[in-house]
Amino acid sequence: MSETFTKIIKADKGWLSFDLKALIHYRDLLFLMVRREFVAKYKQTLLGPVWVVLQPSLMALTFVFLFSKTMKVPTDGVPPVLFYFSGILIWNFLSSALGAISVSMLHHAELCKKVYFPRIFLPISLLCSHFFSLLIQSSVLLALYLFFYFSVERPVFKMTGEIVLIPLWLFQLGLLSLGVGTWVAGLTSKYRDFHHLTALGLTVWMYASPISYSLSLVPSDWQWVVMANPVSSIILSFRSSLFGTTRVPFEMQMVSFLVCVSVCFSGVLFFNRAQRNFIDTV
Amino acid sequence: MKSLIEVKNLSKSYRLGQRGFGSLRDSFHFWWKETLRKKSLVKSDEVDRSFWALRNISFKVEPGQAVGILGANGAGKSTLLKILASLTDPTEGEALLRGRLASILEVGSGFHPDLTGRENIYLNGAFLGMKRKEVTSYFDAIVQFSGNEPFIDTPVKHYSKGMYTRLAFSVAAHLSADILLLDEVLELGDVVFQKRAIDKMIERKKEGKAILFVSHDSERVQTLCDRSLNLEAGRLVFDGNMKEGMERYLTTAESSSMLNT
Repeated sequence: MSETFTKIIKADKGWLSFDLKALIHYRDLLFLMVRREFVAKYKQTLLGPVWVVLQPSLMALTFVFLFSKTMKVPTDGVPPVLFYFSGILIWNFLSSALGAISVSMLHHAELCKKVYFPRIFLPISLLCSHFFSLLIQSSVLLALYLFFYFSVERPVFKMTGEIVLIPLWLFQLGLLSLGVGTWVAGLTSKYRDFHHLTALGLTVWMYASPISYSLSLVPSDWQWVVMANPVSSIILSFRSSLFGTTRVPFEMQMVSFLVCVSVCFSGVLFFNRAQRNFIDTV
Repeated sequence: MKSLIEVKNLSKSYRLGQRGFGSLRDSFHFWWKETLRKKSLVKSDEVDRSFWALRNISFKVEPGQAVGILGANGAGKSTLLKILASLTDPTEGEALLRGRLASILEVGSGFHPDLTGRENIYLNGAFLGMKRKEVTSYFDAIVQFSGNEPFIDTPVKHYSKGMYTRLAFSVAAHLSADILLLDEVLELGDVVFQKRAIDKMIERKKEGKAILFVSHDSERVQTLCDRSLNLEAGRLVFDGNMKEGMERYLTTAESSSMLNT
């Protein structure tokens, strides 16, 4: 028996009560949950993790056919397949991680009724397993990137030092996915309405994001709509770091970053509040 | 030595009635009703009422004590364990826990059918609050206790129900916690395994752990526990030795069933 494990259980702990001791104590669980998430997804599939790269690749090819070949939409001088693949990579991460996180509490309701563990590990483990998928998908992007860079006599895009900033954009993407996901998860735990709203919201959000079009195609009077969207800055910065295209204004990057940080911070707090008496209402 | 569990005036209430659960529509409906009620347009028969699942419970548990919690369905036994296990917050009062707590309200929490027995032991152990190192050190004992050695690298979906529960219980039985909460989990498996499970718990008790045990099997409760806490409609009505507690429980259970018929 050691005093370090003394714990007081009482009502009303306020918004900021996080059981940090538990987070540290259960750290091994987080790793196992990520692994379970990933392994369970692809066991008993023939292609296994190939599905991870197949999905965005087919989507990128569809975009090439639809927007580039049929509608002849310009892509800022970047080879269309690279242009679309890079956008889809970011968007797919957001939509799939957010979707999974938003139902994570409900899906594990039975588990939550029976065993205590830091509930925040549900969204965090999903975030980690989606990052792992992103890593696999990035290898396809890298292969395409190097192919276009070296095979064509005069490269159509520039490789710049800004490429080192990519982890920063991905970090920002993680914050945003976790933030919006935990907000929706918290709300869904009480009101199932938000479950239906998520699918609709994601579709609208996708069209409001510069995935299949570049910012230069948006009339200048309407560019603020795209800019107000925190994902836009991430997608555009990701592309400009990769291809050396027009950089996103610093102010916009800052605003987007602050939005992501505050959404994430408030989302995690809200989730923590919502999970506390979740099993009483589920 | 200090008590391992100190519960002071613990209460838990649930809301009953029209309070909106589930959808926004319900909430708006409730809000509208409330607004009308405040303007006395509607009679107040639909306002929310509170239901006290637990009311002013206080007790202490010393090291080496196994306490049986007796009570009819809905008396608050599981609610009490859920609060102590941090699964839900109390409405009033507090509980002090000295030492590591493991709640075994079901066996096999977090088990995934596609993962092997080995992988699930680690996963379940982690959900129960064990570190990787601890699981590794108990691994052989867990597997041996379950009697599933030949199938430890087979996905658990191919296990029979008995094998599954045996493996799941074995992980829980090896937890190195100071306080154990058990909710009807010693009734699993066949007679031989049940005997082993009870013996294991008696062994834990002798090591100085505190055990809270909920079960409807009076024989098993009496084998393991020497003290009884009787709950009736959320209130603690008896705290004393097992024999008296069991008698009291059986008498009230009989008289209430007579009333019902």
